[in-house]
Amino acid sequence: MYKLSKEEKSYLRKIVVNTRNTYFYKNQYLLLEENIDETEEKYLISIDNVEIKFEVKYDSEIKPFEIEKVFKDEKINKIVKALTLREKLVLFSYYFENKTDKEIGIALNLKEDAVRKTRKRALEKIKNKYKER
Amino acid sequence: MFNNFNLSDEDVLEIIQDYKNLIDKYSKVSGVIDKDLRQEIILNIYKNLTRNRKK
Repeated sequence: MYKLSKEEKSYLRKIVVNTRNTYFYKNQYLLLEENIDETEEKYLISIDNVEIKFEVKYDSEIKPFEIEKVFKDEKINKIVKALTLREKLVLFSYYFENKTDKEIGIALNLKEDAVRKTRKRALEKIKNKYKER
Repeated sequence: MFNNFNLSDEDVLEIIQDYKNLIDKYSKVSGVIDKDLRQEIILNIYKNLTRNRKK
């Protein structure tokens, strides 16, 4: 039996995700009529014991540079909007596409460590700015 | 990237079988498995895994 290497596993996953995305892109008009509302609540961070959650709407057309739209809280919305593009891309890939730090690193041409630091820095930024306001 | 040029059809089918859960997860539309999407995913996996096969 053939065993897949780590890179091959990640490549296989990409094939699956890309096929799904292409399928949605090709059939977007049909799918829009279906009124898709599959959502999932995800946990982002906890500030002063208050959990900041956001709603992920699958099959919606949220783009990486406008992820602030998923936050109903206006305060969080503004803070996330002010993040750098790289931070937004990392958060998007991690929370929306469920990618690992390594996979994000490959996509953005960064080391796994750099991705983790960027993600943590972004969350820290959100936390600190939320407390300031 | 798959660089193994000698994957037989059986090997590919076995890989697809192993990744059935992942394929099913990404085949869901409105919580239900979309058979067309599932088939397209499987077909794409097969195409990619046999792309460099030596003839």
